[in-house]
Amino acid sequence: MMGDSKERRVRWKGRHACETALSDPMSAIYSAIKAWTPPSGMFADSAVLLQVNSEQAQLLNRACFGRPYPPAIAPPPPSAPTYPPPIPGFDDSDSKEGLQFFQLALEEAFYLNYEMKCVRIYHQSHKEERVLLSHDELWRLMLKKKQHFVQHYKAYSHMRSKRWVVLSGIQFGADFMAYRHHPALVHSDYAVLVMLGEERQSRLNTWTELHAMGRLCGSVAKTLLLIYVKRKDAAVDSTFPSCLEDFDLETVEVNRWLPEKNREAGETLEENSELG
Amino acid sequence: MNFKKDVSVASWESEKGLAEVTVKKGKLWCSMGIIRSSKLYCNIEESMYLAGLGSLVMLNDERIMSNDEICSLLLFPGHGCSWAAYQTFAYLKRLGYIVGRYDVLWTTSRKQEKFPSLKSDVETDLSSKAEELILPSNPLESVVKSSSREVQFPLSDTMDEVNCDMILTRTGAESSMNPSLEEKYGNDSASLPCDIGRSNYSREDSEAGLEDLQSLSVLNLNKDEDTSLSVLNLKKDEDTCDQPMFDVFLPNGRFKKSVPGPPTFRLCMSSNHPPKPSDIRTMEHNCGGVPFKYVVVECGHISIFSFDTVSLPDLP
Repeated sequence: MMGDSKERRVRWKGRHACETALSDPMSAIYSAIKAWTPPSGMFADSAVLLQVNSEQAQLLNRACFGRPYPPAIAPPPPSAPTYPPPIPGFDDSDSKEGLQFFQLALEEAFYLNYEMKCVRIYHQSHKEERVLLSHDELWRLMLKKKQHFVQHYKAYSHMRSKRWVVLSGIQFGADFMAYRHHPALVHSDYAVLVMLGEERQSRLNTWTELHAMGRLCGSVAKTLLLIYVKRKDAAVDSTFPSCLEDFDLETVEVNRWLPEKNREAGETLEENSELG
Repeated sequence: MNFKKDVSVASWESEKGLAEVTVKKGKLWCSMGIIRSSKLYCNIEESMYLAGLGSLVMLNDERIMSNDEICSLLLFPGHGCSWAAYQTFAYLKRLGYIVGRYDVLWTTSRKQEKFPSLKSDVETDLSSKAEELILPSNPLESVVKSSSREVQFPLSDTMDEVNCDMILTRTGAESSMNPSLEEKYGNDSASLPCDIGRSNYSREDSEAGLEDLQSLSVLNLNKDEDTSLSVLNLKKDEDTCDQPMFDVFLPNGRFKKSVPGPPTFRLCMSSNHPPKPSDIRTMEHNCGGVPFKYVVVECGHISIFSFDTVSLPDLP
């Protein structure tokens, strides 16, 4: 059944989180990022390492792109969520030029490079030589390093362009986690799985697996979102990032409906999706 | 920069892919770095980790290297490390574990006991050097070392790989020269190509004729130099991981490089997929009785898994 993502009660953290989020919309943060002096980064196979100053680090932190490296032990969460949250371990007074490393996932780095055109990424191809990568070269390197990068990136950029915050879902057993704003302000709505095409595939091929995903999502109070990324045409040349136009997306929410909890009128969908 | 009381200094040696520690301060060197010919060397991940802590100043041609430059060395595949491997290394080090490269001797000092079953052909090849290439007496370690295999040269030179000028040996027991190498290059170490980094191997590269490459085991043929430096292990195909990356020991204030004992476990960098049973069997064989685990690094999140074949007990 096609419809808008059902309006569920958004789980904000703290009384004023919603207003804080509205006063600092992602679109404004994205604009500030696009306007900055592009920092340089290095392609590191499974990640991109960006060298940023404290102002750039703050913007990346607010927009949830990447995390500082090395990670410091995070302080215990404050009783009231602070926003923007401090970046654990980031202290520009320690660094010679006021620059520190920020580690970006491949999708994040490509989005900043290709869509927002606000970072420069280099590759250490030879001992002494560092080469600036074009969009196409960066795309091809990422295709080589990550399986199904095309489909994963298509899903990632689709959500980011709608100003959803998209983070790695590995800790929750999903491809991505999607938030309406910074995780300091709001709990994640969705655990996202990227499905490759419409045909039967190796993941979520059985009801057992669907139950497992559902159980996992239920225990962390998130809804399972499947993003089907389909080729429009049988033959798609994925050598260039322009091939992204040749893919279609379909987003499907999976909810478990519990008859025991729906006998009275006015039940909210959120209660429907609790698995108990 | 953090100013610490004990700051060591190391000088990067490009041909070796290692940094020689010229000023050694602090107790950390009891469980870091390798000793060859009475000199202390550290590999790129150790260098980067210590430089990041402010415990080490890295020099290149007398000039202090920035973190950015050290990181470039780390990312360069010819030095045998990768960003994922480095994150794993740093993570374990911060927790106090002792981490060395798989199957790399901590020291080749004379103080070690002679390993009794040195192959006779090794002794012939190395002649007087054989005495100095001494292995720990731990028989388990000897089993492990004897599982290392030969590499074949030359290696193709693509954008992602490096040619070094020096070939370095792994262990004394395994220093018999690959016959094709000997035929091609004779005894001139300077002309021998070297190591390949593990992380940037693409499938096309491996299909291009590098299928024979397994572990890296090369010989330093410069007979004047009493060094036997180990280089990184080589992964031929990113879809399979049949060799560990690190030897990990539990935190131990009394760790001795001369008698390290077998590692607590060996750590393998995972490929795109979890291992199949056949991959696990191969790894079991390669690890020679030492437990092994797989590490997955995703977006800075490091997870370590073990896959153990078990036999369910019969219950009453």
